[in-house]
Amino acid sequence: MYYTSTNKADLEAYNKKVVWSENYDGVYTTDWAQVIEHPNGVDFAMLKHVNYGAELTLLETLSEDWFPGDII
Amino acid sequence: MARISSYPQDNLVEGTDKLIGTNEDGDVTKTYTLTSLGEWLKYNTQPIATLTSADGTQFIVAAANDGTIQGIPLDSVAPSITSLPVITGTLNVGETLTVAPGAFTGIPAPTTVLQWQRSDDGLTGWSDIAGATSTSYLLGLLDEDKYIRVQQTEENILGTATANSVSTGQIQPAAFIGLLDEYPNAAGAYSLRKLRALYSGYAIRVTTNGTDSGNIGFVNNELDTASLEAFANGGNAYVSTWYDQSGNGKDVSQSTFSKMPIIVLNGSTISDNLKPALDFQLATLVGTSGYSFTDFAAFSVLNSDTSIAYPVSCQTNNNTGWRQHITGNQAFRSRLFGVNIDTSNTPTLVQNLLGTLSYGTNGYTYVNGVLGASASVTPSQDINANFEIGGSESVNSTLLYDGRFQEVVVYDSDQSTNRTGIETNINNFYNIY
Repeated sequence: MYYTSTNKADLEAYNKKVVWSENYDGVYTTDWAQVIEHPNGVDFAMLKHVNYGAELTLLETLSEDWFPGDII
Repeated sequence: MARISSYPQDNLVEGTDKLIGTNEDGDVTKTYTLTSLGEWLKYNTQPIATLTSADGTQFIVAAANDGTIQGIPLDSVAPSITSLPVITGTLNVGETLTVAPGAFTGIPAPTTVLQWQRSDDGLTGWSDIAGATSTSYLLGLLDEDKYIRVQQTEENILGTATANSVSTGQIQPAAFIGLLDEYPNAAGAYSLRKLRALYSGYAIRVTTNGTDSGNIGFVNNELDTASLEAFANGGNAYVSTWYDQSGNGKDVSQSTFSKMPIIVLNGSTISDNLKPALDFQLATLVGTSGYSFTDFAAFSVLNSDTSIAYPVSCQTNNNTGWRQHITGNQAFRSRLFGVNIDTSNTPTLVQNLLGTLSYGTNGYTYVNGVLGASASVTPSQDINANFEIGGSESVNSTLLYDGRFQEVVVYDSDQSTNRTGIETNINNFYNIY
């Protein structure tokens, strides 16, 4: 499942929340997930951690329009 | 009380040096054997400093050869090694010898120094092996046909003692011959088996939760799954680094937890065809740039669960460099310098050995040792590209590979004459086809 937002910072904050909560070592593990940018340049997404929620829109999966189709 | 009238001024050795003295009446001359510095103090008429600690313990002030001043107990004695160091291990290049230091005495407690040494005949001409000073030593190519021993030195402020182990027998050639011993000079080599006799590093670094971390190596030249599963402790283990065995230090790694491949699931090592495997569930491991890829060869052992993904890549954009690619038709493709070289073989849901070669002005795609397709290409270096396993993030950060990997070996040179041998070596181990 993925959280989506038009504000990239929301997703970066969610990543920081997971990192802090999971107490990652900061050396070999620094992040929970990376922000995925929609080709439209407006929407952003991030994989949801099973243990942590956020006040963001939740999608079961990312639709094909998130993935450029010209080089597959 | 006897008074010492003469004694050796330098290098006093307990139990050996004699002190000549007379009794208090001066009518008897006796010879004393020095058994400790305390005894020397007892009989010596020369000025010597002693210190008394807060609890009343007396110490002798002694000077080491380097000028260091120490307060040492009255019963201090120089080191003595009472049994020889003993070497154990298999006498083949690529094997690791270990030494059990000999027993020793001495007060203050001596410092132990070990030095591995090499000789042509096991009798004479022993020379120190640079940097070999630990309790273990990996036998290298320079040791073949030679003899090895360990020199043990014990030292405290009163002196040193040295003892040599018995020489080993003659060191034999490597018993294990890895893929990179037969076909050396890989640019990067990643595997869950040992690929080179003299590779002494780990296979992978793993974590269970992003907080802990551990390195997993090899047992009998295969992944140490017992240590791996012990680390996982019934849970999952994820790979943060897949170490490069080529000797070039081009490890591939991932610091984002959700993009790390998994290798232990619920306490059990993931495997394909009875050999351990990394499961890339949309994971990637990213290496360094700097490869000079024009003539090159890449061999991958994988089992793909997906279509449309880039299992292995080295490119800064879609039209430069190269990648191995699974198409929307679930066929295997090599994309070299902007040219697609598609096979009709389906690589998905089964273990495959995928080969991508480029030499001269032609590119080739092999599946399980069989040429699937070839095409003309115009090679050009893409030296800024990162080598990646599991994706090609500079081309598309979302098309990540879903499937398993067991080995990836890349050469940045023409391997057309070695291709069959390399594929045979890989297939003999993994039993793919």
